[in-house]
Amino acid sequence: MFTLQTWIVQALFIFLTTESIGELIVPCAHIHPESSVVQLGSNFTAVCVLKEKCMNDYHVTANEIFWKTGRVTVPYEQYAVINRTASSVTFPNITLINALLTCNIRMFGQINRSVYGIRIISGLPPEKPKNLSCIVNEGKKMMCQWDPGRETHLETNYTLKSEWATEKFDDCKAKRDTPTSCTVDYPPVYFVNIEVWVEAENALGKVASDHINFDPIDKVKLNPPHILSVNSSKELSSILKLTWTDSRFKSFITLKYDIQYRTKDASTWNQVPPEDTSSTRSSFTVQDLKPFTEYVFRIRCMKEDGKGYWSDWSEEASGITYEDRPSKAPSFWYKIEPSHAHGTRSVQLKWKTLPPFEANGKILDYEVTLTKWKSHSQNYTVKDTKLTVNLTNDRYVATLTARNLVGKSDASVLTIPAWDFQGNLVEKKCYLITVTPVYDDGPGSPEHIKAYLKQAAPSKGPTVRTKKVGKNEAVLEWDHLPIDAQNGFIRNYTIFYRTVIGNEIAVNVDSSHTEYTLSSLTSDTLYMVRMAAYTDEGGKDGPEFTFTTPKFAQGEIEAIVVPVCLAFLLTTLLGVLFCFNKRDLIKKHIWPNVPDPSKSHIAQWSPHTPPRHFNSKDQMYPDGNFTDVSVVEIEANDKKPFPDDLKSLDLFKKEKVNTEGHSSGIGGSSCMSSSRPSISSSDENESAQNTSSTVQYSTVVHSGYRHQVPSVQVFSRSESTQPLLDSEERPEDLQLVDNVDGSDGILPRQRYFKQNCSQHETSPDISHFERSQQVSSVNEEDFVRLKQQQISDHISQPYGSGKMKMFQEVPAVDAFGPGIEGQVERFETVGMEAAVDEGMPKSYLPQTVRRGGYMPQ
Amino acid sequence: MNERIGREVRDLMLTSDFFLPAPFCLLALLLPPLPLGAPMSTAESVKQAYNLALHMQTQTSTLLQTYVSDGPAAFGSPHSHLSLSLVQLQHQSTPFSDPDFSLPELKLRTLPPTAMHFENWHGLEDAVRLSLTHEAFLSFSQHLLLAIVDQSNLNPDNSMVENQLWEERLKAKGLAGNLAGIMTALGLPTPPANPPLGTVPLGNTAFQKKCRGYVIVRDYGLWTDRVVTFLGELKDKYSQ
Repeated sequence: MFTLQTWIVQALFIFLTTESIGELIVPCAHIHPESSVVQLGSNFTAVCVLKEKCMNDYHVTANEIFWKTGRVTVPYEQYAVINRTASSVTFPNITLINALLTCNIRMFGQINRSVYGIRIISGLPPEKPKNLSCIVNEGKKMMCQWDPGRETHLETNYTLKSEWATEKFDDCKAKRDTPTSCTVDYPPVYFVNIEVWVEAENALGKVASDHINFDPIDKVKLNPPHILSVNSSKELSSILKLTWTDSRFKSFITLKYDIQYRTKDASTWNQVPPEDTSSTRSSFTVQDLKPFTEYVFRIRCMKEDGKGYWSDWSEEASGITYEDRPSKAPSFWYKIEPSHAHGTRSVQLKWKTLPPFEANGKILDYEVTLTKWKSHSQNYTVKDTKLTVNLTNDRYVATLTARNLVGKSDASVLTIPAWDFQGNLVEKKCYLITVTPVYDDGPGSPEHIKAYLKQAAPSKGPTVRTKKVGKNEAVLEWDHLPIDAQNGFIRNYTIFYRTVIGNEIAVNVDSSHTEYTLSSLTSDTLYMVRMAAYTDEGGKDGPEFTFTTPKFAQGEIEAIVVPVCLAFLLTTLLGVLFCFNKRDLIKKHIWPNVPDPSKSHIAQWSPHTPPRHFNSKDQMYPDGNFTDVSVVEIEANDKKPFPDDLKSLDLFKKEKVNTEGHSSGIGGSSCMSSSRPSISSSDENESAQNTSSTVQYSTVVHSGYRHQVPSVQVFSRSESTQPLLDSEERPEDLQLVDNVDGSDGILPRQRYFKQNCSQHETSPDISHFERSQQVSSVNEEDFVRLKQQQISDHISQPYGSGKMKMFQEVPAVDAFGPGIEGQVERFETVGMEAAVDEGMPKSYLPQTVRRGGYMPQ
Repeated sequence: MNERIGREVRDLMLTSDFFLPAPFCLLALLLPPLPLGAPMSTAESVKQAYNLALHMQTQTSTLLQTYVSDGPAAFGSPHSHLSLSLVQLQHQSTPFSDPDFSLPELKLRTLPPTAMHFENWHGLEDAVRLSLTHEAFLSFSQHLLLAIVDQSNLNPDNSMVENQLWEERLKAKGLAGNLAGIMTALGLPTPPANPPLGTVPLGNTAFQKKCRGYVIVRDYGLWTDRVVTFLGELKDKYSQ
């Protein structure tokens, strides 16, 4: 626009400055710059250059140049004559301007003449557009708008640019009348991110906004839903069901809705909770509505995730909820008209129509019931709102209900008093006086008052009792006096209470109370309490009541007992914990560990270990684990067993052929059985002796504990009923068997012959006896301990049920004697082999036999 | 619209190979996605592409119906073709507008192949399928432009089919871009060069042009179905 103006201006001056002869002449001067758009606040300088021809024609130089903006001459201070032909003008800090700047010359005779002109326009470069946002209205193309920033005062072009990562779209040039928005000309492609920005450009500059990148589906504004229907429900008068059709976008995005409703006459909208309508749907039932009320609905929708814009509101649609029974009875009053007939009166009953919010529907009719005092009732159904009936002078009770399609209202009740009501008012009776105002449009609210003709003191006092009795307080309660006993308005109560010896204390209590708490009582004390009720005319005492305060307050005993119990419990617990922690010590003292024969390590003895090693008494039981064991005293002087033993030995010799080769364990048993007396009762010993008279003695050879062998040969009495094996007769074999039993391994048989039993080879029978005599009590004790230790160790080893079974079966072996070799054999195979293969080369290597081990009876 | 087509057609005609912009298109693909905006995760990219494909699928059946017959009802409702009658203005005229018209045997050599069995297609690696699909939709965007040009010549007075073809072409390009984005996000090689369209057969007579447009739109629908299934799988895979 301003370009055009400039052109016109220039044309004008060309015309002005041309020679009048008619020849087309070039302008007399020129102004530089030709472009005249100036930024606000900057300095602007223009130079006017005269042409020689003009100078000559008009006899002027640059000194005669003066400048005008519009019609105002620019002050000379702003001029500068550059040379003979050129003069400049400077405008510092240029303000908002849109004016004609002319170069003029002053000729002779004060004739001024404009020789050239330009239009200077001031303005600003465009600011960076801000707040660029886009919207895609459903079915339309994308429109973006922005905030252009400050006014530029210049013609500024805004261009919306958009592109995909893979495609550039045509620019969208904002129209002049809407420079802050532009609608692109391509259809929106949803689910493809697009990048959009806007460029602003004018004569002073060009600037682009920030780029925004989005998926057009997130900028969509859908078409509003269209409400199809609003339906009521016969079942529920408080609901209306709204159905609508949606935008076709619902086939590929999830929608959410905003539903509002109001009664027809209301101006404010109610909101359906958004969380109830947060997914695509096509109907919704609005609840908690008033019956028989017209509601107006509107709905809008948007993308479920909240990206985008709400659609416009739909067109409003209305529906009426179904009827409900009237919620209130109509107001009701009467008017009595004097009747000419004697004994009757004309009564007009009147009522008002219910307002719609109480009628809850269309009132079809009213039902009036008139009931004469103690007589049958008459019913009337009326469509009107009044009813005139002729009544006798008796008292009547009238009821009124309104009825609509759904049901009847509650009844309102009106008493029509008897015409000649004259009560004989009596004293000490309470009367309720009711006054109901009747206005033109109906009755007002009645007022009631209670009154006595004359009051008197109550005819009886209240009966007080305790509700709760504590150590220092008691809660008293009582009932109000029956109305007949009051004889007046009860103004207050007085409670009197005393102990047997104390003074009586009186407490006044307001008449509205039925409960009072006496405090500061003494514990474990008998109290007597009574109560009086007072009217204005006097009082009356009630019966006396006694109660005793307890010695202890509730929970006091528990407060003592519980901590004591807890302390006891804690002590016990600590004791148990202490015992548990020190169980090893206790165990050592009370039930020490007994060595397990199966765990002894005799097999590890070196074959070259000299026998003297076993002589050391100190090394015998280095563990010291078994210190306190019952002592077995074998009475060497006791002669009795000897013959038996010898006999059994003889018997055993006879049976030897049978048993030999079957169970070397038996041999072992004879040795091991020496420990038996220490742990079995004498009864058992006796029974063993009774069942088998073959109580024998065999050489007891200590296998030692672990790596030690006792140096002393021990004779012990065998309680086994089994006959002694050959090995028992021959201590060499016996020694082997013993060791086998005790240490799970085959031991060097020959060596033990030498070490322990060799001297008895020739006379084993005697040696049994003799040795038993030689045994010192200490050694025997040691032996017993050793055996017990071995046995207990043996048992404690978790070899499994087989082992345990073996242990359990041993008594049976004993009981059956030689008849159960099979079983013994099963357990003692290694020992058996050793016993049988007496002449075979002997190995000192420890064996891996684990099933050996002899068990005590 | 006409100006736009004109320019695009000019672009097409400028080269003997019929399709010069392809390299530029690919050049654009080679560029990394613009760094502006929140970068999308693979799952988001796949989901977006899937949604677009689904959106396209809802349109393709109507597109074909719109192509073979004209009627405002056919535009916008996927089921409206059921109510088409012979009384309606026939866009491509008989036999295309005949009810139950189909030409399964009609093929266009330059179109992406549709014959692959589902098993074979399904057996291909994701990367290969992404690449093939990307290539296919770029190819369809070219073919659809051809169909637009044909329509412009065949039915200059009726822009409905043209408009819809134009919109579908834009979507095809958009989908190709989305697929390229997925491939980039997955670190797959840059989408392969789109081969020049070459001389598209069936182009001399009006009838042949109609046939060509028909096959393009039909196969476009088939590929859209295919890509919906494929992207559905990918979506499940990456949304876990």
